[in-house]
Parts: sequence; structure tokens; C-alpha cells
Amino acid sequence: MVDVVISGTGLFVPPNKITNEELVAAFNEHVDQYNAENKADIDAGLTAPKQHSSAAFIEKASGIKSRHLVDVEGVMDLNRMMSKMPEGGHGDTENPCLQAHMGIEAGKMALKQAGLEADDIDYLVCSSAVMQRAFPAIGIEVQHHLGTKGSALDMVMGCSSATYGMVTGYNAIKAGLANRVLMVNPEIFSTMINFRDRDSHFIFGDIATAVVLERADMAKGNDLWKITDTKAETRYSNNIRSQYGPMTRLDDDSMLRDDMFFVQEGRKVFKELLPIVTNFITEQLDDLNMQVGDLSRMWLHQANINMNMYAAKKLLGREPTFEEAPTVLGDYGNTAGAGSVVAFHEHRDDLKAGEKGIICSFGAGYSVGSLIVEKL
Amino acid sequence: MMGGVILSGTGVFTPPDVVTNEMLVDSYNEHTENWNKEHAAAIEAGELVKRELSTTAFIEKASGIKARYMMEGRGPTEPGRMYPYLSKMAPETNMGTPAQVKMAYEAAMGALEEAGLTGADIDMVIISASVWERFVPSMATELQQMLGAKGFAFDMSMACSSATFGMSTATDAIKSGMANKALVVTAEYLTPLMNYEERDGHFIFGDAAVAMVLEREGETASTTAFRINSRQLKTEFSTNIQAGFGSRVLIEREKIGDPSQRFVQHGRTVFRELLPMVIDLVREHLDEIGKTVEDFKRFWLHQANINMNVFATKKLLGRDPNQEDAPIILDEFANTAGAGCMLAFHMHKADFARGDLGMICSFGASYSIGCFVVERL
Repeated sequence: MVDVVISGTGLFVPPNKITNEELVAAFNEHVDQYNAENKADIDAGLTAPKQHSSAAFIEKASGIKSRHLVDVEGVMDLNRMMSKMPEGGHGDTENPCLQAHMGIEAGKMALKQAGLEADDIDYLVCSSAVMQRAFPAIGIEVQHHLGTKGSALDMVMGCSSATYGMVTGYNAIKAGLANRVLMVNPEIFSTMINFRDRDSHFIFGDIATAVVLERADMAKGNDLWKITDTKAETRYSNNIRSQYGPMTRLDDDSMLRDDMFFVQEGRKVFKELLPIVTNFITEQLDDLNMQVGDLSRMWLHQANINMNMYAAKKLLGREPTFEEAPTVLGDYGNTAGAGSVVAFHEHRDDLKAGEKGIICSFGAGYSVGSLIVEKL
Repeated sequence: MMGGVILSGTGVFTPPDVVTNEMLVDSYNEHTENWNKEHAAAIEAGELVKRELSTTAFIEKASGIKARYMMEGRGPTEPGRMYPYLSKMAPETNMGTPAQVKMAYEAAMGALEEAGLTGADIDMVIISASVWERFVPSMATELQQMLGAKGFAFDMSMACSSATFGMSTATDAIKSGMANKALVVTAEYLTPLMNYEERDGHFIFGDAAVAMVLEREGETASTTAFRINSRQLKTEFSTNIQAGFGSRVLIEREKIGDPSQRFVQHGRTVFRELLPMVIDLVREHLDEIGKTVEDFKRFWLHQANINMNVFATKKLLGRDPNQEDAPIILDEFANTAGAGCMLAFHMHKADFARGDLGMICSFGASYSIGCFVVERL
């Protein structure tokens, strides 16, 4: 069977940046307003007062300092505190919709790095934790505006969207369906968030990643990474959940209910998911007769700093250095499916030919997905 | 290298409520007459256009559809509401199993039975459907757990080609060695997206789920398997078939009841643009594999509407098709989006003998075309 390489990666970062301080200022103002409005009930012990937050709490809990969002105006509006559709967000016949636009821009960068034109691509996979609309497929809109050939499709897989998208592209090349695949992963998860919720309002940032995968014998780029193994595993869990979907409309009282937004049982996720991840990676390395010491770098899902450090430490048997398991949480927050690929995009230039690393996602589903790559 | 990939079992789930054209037209006409009365002044003043009544004869002529199954049929036929209530299969609590996953489970059990497998034999699960009832956690992962399947699972979407693109994705994974036995389920629950106040669109869709088991030739217990001899996919962007509903309703909540968020289609343009693409792709594929239409016992086509289906097969065959050449299931099921061609396959494959060739072809929204050549083993 043919070998498959990663020959380019790309990133699109939405222009609106928001710091913890800005987010907390809006949140605390909301808390004061809420507590004042509900003062009688709170005094009578019928309702619990809402608690203020602080930038220090957020950074300690998550390692996040700022994030980029597709919309800041709606999030900061005390009467709304949810994303608002940016102007032109739906797209029209000439202009792509918001999510397709993000995928297109990241895709262009990845193609450039691979030394390819869009029409060299014959299969496009658009994979994201959430899709802006049902159809036409976002992936086909990206295909249309970039000018890639063949076919395209949409898939979703929570925090493993990018790795599962890459695996789907890898399989298509191995099977002979495609020669060159563009995987785009435009993440807009902030649109699923209730910015009045202290535990989750700071978590997510929006971003798009893109990866070119191609047959090794056709690759022309000068930064090639051979995919030496792929592995995926899912185990159902309700501990990371988001309710909204097309059925929302059928349930007449559900529209703005707090439990319809993204909800998570963070402690349970930590306790249940991390052993799955470390066993998964250990098994994969065992199957390949590799040791963790054979990996120069681990590009891990970027959930929060404590999870990342815990996983890397467990695998290495000691504290990891930044180089061994780089984090990008500080600038971008948790970018759902994109995290591990953002880390790969930003932190791979110093590796030499023959060095190996692992790109590994984990999160909602639960899902774990990994690719072991070797610099050519 | 590893032998071919085969389709070793299929299964179908049929939703509980039958809604006939008569039921739809009665409620549509009553609702529309009320609407025209309520808006009489604005209509008179030319600010609104008077809405037209419909007939069952119009629907049957336009589509070949006589009835459809729905997960919930009372809401769409209740003047004043005109959209579904939650189905009886809807989750009882927020943390419950989505109706779409329950539909998928029922169809999956049938497919596994035909393949002679249990859930524990499966190591890849895909739910591929036009819409997702829930994004996180993935519905396929929940189905994987319910079936006791191993390996990995994810959801994908490709509108009317959801089943064929799902099968293609599973075929790739089996060929690359990442999976051994895959389950693909196209659980279509599209009726909540419909605008039942719209004369041209309210009759089109029905709900249904179809499941497919794929595995390697030589590793199957199935006695009714079909080998996938070849396949071809194509997509080309078009906004002529749209469903705006997605995460964007979260950021435009005020529009949740807005007709622009429902299914919208420009039928004539689709007919004119998409059908030539389908014919070309099928001919191109036949040339590539050195076959002619005469080599095929049957064409299981996407079930969009009778006129599209008849036009496509007539063009391909060069004569009027019959139910043997290209079976139609629209009368009973209506358009079931991505499920249509595989529903037709499931219901009309039993008479195939060893060596008989057939073609599965989906086409529709996005645009997308998925074409599979299958041979009975």
C-alpha cells in the first residue's frame, strides 16, 4: 500500500481577541445585575447568589489567558451573552459562509506550504465539533471556493474532529480513492456556549486548521511528515454534552434553557478520560515496538493545562518540558477539535529528519485519535 | 491485497406514523384558508400574496409520493401548528438517547442479523445522515455503546448522499486496515426541518433509517452479500437545496421559527443542473470499468421524485424503465434523503443470483453524487 505524508498545515485565527480580564469584567457585571434583580429571593434563601469570577481563577483552572472568537459583540452584550451572527455570516452565492470562510483561509495556507494548487486536491474532508448548517455541506462550499476536485464531505467528532478527519483522509489515500486530501477543521464552538456560566464561559476559542495529506510518492513539499500509524477509539459518555440540534424547535420550552448549552462534568472527565488516553497511547506504542522515549514530541489535545500536563507526565514518568508536550492554550483557549493540530502547526520546525512525534486528540464522545508521524 | 470489501447485511427502521397525502392536504388547506382569512386585509392591499390550496393529485403527479412515515405525524397535520411534536422516541431527559440514535439502533439490528454478526464484532460505527440531532457527544459513539461495538465511531453528513458517502468512508477504513467490520447507519429524521405551510415542499420528505454492514470478502458469514466492485464520488457546490438549520440558530435565536431556517429547494433548477451531472458520472464510471448498462440487472437510485428517477433511468437505459430495472419506493416512503437508494436496495435485492451486477447511485443536495457497482456473491 502507498505511504501517506502530511505535506502542509494551515491556520486561520479569527480577528476578535478577548482576554480573561475582558471576559471576567462582563461576567462580573452580569453577576451583579443578576444578584440585584434577584435580591429578594436571595435574601429569603430561595435562590443562590451567583459568584464573581477572576482572571486568576481562569488561568489556574485552565492555563488560558485569551482566546479568539468569531463574535465578541454578542458575547460582551449583557442583555445577550451569546454569540451574535457576524455580518455576512450566512454567505451568499459569491461569498462563503462564516465557517467555510475559516476553512478556506486555513486551507490556502496548508496548500501553499505543501507547494500545491487547489486543483491538485481530489478529496476534501471538513471536520468540526459543530456545523453551522445542515446542507449544502460546508465542505463542498470550501471545495467550491478553493477549486479542489473530486468530492468533499462533512463530519463531526467533538474534540477529535481534526484527527478523525485526517484519519478519514489517510484511509481514502491508502484505499486508492484519493491521491491528495485537504482536511479542513473550522471550529466555531464558542457559538454553543452560555457566557453567563462561570464554569464554561472561558473555555473555548474559535480557530480553523487545515492539513494536506498525500501519497508520499507524489509529494513536492519540503516539510514532509510520514504517517507511520493511526489509531482511533471511542467510548460513549454524557459528561461532555451539548443539546442543541434540529429537534430543539420541537421542544417548546427548551430554547434558552441553561442545560441546552454546552455542559461538562470536568472532574469526571479528568478521572475517566485520562486513563483511557494514556492506555491508548501506551498500547499503540507497544504494538509498534516503540517506547515513549522514541517520541521527540507529543502534540496533544489542548483541553486545559492540568489535563495536558497530567497526560504527558503519566506517559513520560516525569514532568514534561515545554518542548516535549507544547501547549497553545494561553493564546487560543480550548479550540475543540483543532488543539492538537494547532500545536503541531506551531511547534514542529525544530525537529530533524528521522525524529518522530504523536498527534493525539481526546475529549467529547469520549474519543481518542492519534497519528504517529516521522519527519522525512 | 486483502480481497474486496463487501456489503454483508442491510436493515431498515420504519417510523411509527403513516401520513398520507390526504391527511397532509386536508390540514394544509384548512391552515391555509385560515391564514388567508387572517391576512385578508394585507392580501387585498397587495402586501401579502394569497396562498394557494393544494390537492393530492398535484402531489402525486409532482412526486410519485402517496404517503410517508414520520417520527411524529400529528404536529405537521394540525392546522395552527404545522410542525412536528417531539416523537415518542425522543429522549425523556436532556441526557437521554436521541430519537435518531434509537432509529439507527433498530436498523442496525436488522443489518447485523443478516450479516450473521453481533454488535461486538463491529469495530467502526458511522452515523451518516443529512442532519444531526445532537453534535456532542457524537451520536455514533452512543450507538457503538448500545451495540457493544468496539473500535471507534463518528458522525458524518452528506445530505442525499449520506448513505453512499458513509459506505465509501467505511470502505476506505477497511481497505487501509484501520477497521475490519464497519456499521454505517443513515438515520434520516428530516421532518422537523420541513416547512409544512409551504405548498411546494411540505409533502417531499419522510423519515426512515437504513443500516449497512461492511466487511472483507472471505471473512463473512453472510450468504446474501454483495461485493463493492468499484465506486465513484463527486460533489459540486450548489445552494439550490438548503437547510439552514445548524449551530447558526444558536446565534440567531429570534429566527428559530423563521421559514428561511427550514428546508428550501429550487426544484426545477436542481432537475436541470443535477441530472446531467448524474448521467455523465454514471457513463464515465461505466467506461472506466468497461461495462455497459446492459451488464446491470438493476439500478437502485436515490429516491427524490418519480420524474427525476424516471428521467435518469430512461436516459441511461435508452428506454422506459420498469420496477425491475429501477425500483421506486417513493409511493410508500417519500423522499428519505440519504437513505433512499439503500432503502430501495434493501427492499429489492432478494432476487439477485451469484454474479448479478447492480448499481447504487445517490444524488442530491450540496450537490453530491455517490455511485457504487455491486456484485452478488
